[in-house]
Amino acid sequence: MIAYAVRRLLIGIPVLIAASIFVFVIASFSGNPIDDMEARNPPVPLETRQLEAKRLGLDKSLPERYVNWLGNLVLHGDFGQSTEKSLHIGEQLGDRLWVTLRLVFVAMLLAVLLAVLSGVLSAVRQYSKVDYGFTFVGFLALSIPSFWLALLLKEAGVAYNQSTGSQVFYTLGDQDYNHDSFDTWGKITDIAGHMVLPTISLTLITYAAWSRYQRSAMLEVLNSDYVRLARSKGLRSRQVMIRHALRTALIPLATITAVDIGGIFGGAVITETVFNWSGMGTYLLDSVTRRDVNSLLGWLLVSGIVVIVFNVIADLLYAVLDPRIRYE
Amino acid sequence: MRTRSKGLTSLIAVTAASLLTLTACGGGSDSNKETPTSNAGYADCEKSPNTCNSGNTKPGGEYIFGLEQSFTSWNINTEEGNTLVASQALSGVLPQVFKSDPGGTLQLNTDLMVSAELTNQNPQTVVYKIKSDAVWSDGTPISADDFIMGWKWNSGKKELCTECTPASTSGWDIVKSVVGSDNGKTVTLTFEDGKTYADWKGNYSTDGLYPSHLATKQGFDLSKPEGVNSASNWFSETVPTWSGGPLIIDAFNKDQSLVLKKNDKWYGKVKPSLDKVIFKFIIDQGSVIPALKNKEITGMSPQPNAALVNGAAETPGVIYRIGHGYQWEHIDLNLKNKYLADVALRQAIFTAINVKSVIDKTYGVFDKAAKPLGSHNFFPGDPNYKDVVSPTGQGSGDIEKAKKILTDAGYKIEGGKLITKAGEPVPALRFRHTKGNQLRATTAELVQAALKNIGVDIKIEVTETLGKTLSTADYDMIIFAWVGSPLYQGSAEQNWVTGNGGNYGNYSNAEVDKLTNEGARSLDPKKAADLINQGNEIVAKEAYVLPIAQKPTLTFTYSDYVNIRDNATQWSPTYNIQEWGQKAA
Amino acid sequence: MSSSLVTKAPEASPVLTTRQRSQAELVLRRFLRHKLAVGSLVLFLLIVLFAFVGPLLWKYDYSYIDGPSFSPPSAEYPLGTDQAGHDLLGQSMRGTQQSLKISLLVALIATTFGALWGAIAGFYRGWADGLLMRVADVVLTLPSIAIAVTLSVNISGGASWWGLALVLSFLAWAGISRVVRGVVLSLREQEFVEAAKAMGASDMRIIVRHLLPNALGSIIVAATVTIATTILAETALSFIGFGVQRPDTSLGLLINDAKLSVQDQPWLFYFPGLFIILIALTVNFIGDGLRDAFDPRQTLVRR
Repeated sequence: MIAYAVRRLLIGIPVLIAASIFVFVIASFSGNPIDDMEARNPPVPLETRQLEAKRLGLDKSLPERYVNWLGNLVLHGDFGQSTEKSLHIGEQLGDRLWVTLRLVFVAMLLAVLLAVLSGVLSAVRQYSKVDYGFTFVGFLALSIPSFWLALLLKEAGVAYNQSTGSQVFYTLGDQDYNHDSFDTWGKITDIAGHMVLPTISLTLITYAAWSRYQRSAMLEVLNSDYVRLARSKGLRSRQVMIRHALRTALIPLATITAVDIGGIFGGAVITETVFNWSGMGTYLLDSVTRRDVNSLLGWLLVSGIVVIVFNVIADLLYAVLDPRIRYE
Repeated sequence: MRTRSKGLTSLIAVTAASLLTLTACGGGSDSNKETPTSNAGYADCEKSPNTCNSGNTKPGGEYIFGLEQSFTSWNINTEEGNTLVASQALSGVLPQVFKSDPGGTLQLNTDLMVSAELTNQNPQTVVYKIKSDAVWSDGTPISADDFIMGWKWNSGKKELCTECTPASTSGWDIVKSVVGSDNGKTVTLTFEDGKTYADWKGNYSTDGLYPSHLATKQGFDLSKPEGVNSASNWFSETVPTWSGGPLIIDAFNKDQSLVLKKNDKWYGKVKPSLDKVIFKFIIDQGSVIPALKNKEITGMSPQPNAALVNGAAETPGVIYRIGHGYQWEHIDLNLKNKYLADVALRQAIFTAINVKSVIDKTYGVFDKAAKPLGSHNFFPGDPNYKDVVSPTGQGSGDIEKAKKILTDAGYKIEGGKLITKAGEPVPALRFRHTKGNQLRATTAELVQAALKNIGVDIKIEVTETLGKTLSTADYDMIIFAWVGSPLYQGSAEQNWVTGNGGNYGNYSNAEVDKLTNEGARSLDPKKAADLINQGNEIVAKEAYVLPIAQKPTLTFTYSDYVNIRDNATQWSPTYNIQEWGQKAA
Repeated sequence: MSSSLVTKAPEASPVLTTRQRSQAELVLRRFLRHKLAVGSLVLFLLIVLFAFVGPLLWKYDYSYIDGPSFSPPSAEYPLGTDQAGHDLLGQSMRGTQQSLKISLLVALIATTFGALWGAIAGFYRGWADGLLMRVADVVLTLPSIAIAVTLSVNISGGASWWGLALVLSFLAWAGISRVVRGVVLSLREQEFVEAAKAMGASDMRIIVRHLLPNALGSIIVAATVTIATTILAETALSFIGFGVQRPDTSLGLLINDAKLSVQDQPWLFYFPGLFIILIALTVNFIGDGLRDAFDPRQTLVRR
């Protein structure tokens, strides 16, 4: 199994390289970071512009720049120079990945729980009021623009705080400015408090598709021969559901969850923007606005690795959940 | 979406230049009593911008000031670090020789300086006398060495600093020497022979002083250009643990907040009363008002828009004020376009545009004092301000007059299309504006609608890189803002003289060149302004650039804090950060 | 356009046999049984009328800018006006039109391309399958929002609606190709494919005439879902500033311009939002009805 995982991860390398070339080319053609200096008044001295261009390697040809970037990354673990001279891309990515991952991870966990719960209930009580209720809510969540929902949640949070005169919901940032001076418990509650609204918003837009998925998977299993057999042999319905049906019905969800990680990362861009988090999403937007090719490549690499790792985890989960599957 | 504002250096306020002073002088004709530009608590800012919202403070408390961007470099003497937010965030840390008050007058920082005076005209010489008790937070005196390092960073000369990347070298590239004496407490700055720099007060004021002794302690040899460069980089990358001002950095959460506490070694008259001042980075404008209501910030001075002004006005316990800054929006024509090379067409275009109605749909929605700007060099309130645009009829939206100009010049409007004397239809003009700027998009649409009346089609295109679009003159019409300043001599020369840096649209007139050049070199301010205004009159008549309005500024704060007031200069409301505090009961 | 895609596509297919026609009727009958889906279809058609016919009837078009600033909904301006004085009703019609055009075009391009790609991969299997699916993997690995943002920056002078549609198509085809490949993998073993092969039909003919029509159910459902996701994707892109630009408009742009107005001018924020939700919701329900109609047990990998 480990050999399989390693092999899968290795296959990811050429995929990542192809993706990075693609991003490098389109990002390089999207404009020159030095151009913006020309609009300043008084103009930025020519020497300054030349030094910046040289520092960013803009005086070299495209292939040369890409090879240099890749070489430095592989040999020295160096992500290259950002357009902001004192910004260390690697350091930034490390800090921000943790911020985004904790949001994505918690939201995914909640979304899975919610999806399983509503999907299973829907399937077990097919065509009941419960089913219709969950279905409608699911479809609604599927149809709401993510930032529209996030903005509404933010307004609601502020309104609640104002009406109760307390600071229950945070709408700004991922932690308090005094965070470092808190004790451990304070740090945990601080982070948790700031996470509430963004997590709700990301969870809601994520869970809906999964719950539809879970519902049909569950229906399929419930209608399958072996569950009928188990029932006819006198196993009580709850036992059947949990031990047999649910376990099998979770398999496809595990896959889809992992495959969707890329999409959730995308959703996090919106959530982070609305709630002013400094995570991967806002880093992406900043990099694009600055025309910061190396930052963009770093971002792509890190999130690409996350996607691939999650895919491998999904495959492994698959094996855990479904005893018929063995990887070699 | 996100805007980066850089290019601080030019924002030097030597004389009063804001609209608020104009109304104070009684020069303002309109009095919008029913629509105030500020609410109670800030109401007297109209009359006394420098003292409104003042009061006694009680010790303790925290103040959370929002900033619109985060920043990456701690050295504001570099291109990267030269941002408004960085200078605001460091205003309690970096010593500066002059600071501008809200009224727009540069005041000597008497905490730091005994004096800073021009002692000789040729060679121009400035003598700085530093107070003996002015020290860095480790007790080391602030000295001439710090002044020398700042000069080397900004000089743009490789023999002083190998790879320094200053945002601008103006005022520094003609400095011949900076010499310390009197145990480092007197600094003599001498310019090169025959060269003058009228705005010498900007040096060490638009930027700030950094502790050179810490660079030396790091092992950088400041007598060598490599050492100076390393020092610049080190100060750029390292979060300051030092201070030469009333506050010192307590904690920095990257991209989230900067926390400052009192500097125990602060030598100034007024000791800070607040325990902490926190700068919070709020990049998304939509987050500002929720954060204010939620008390996640207690004050801010963001780029104004209708929602921010309303939001601030509606939040209980918050006072706000709209001021008028040093940036002005304008529409430029590109004279390289052969149709626009004809002055009659240009005049007709500008005449057909109704600047008043553009303002009504943009700044006017939240800034009742916004009105058309009539000069390309000065702002209302400045004694040199002279409205050269209105007499030409440009910006009036007078379609009949515009048509008359055209028919007099031999144009015809047939079937809604404008035809030149040569019988050619005038092709659609490309109007460009920066992407994501709603107000400019609205302006573009209004111009489009107005010019349809004289048979001119407008094709609106956004630009991602304003700098490139301007420098390559890739437009027929474009709207953008200049950061104006009382340094009108330099900018006038830059913008209106044939072939110069800011003259993107290729305007050329020998008479204007002569007047402007002469004005820019004159050492007599009155005469200089007269010459520049004379040149300006010709520029206006020839319809090259149509000024729209001064950009408003906005400041709001919870009213239980005092001494926080709008400051439209680059020193911003943080100019008196040590005086901020909780209102004493 | 979408309606014809839904109801007439099977008839238009050149390989109709009696068996298939009766299947088409069966599908239609099953679809009509899905009340919610039928209701959604009607509502969706009304929205299409609103977007494409509405501007011909309503007095203010989207370029009208002479209204007062921030007028709340009134008889003159039923949905109110924005700061510039645009009539929000006229703007919403145009916005809905542009958003629909974008998503329909994306559904068309991405589905056609993705279906062909997936079918070819599934039909040939072996190294061709491996190569084609790795390419699809690269696209799927790329975080779509990053690519959309970088690509739309490249479109000079701001994204036109069709430019944006191309970008979004580029991101949508890979998912569809996977679905179709899965279906084709199972279909290719069936007798009618063997029969066609025996009769000497070329590979391309088998793919286009036999495999794809039989995978039509999955393809149509995938296309429907693509419409819904594209509407939302366009909105998200506009929100971060990379969508359609003024003076043109789209629902995403309208809602983005109104993001600061939630409190003061709620109509600017809620009306375009409701249009988006309505479109996405009806399309999703239609998709659900179609899925049930084509194969009650069909499940779809949705990205």
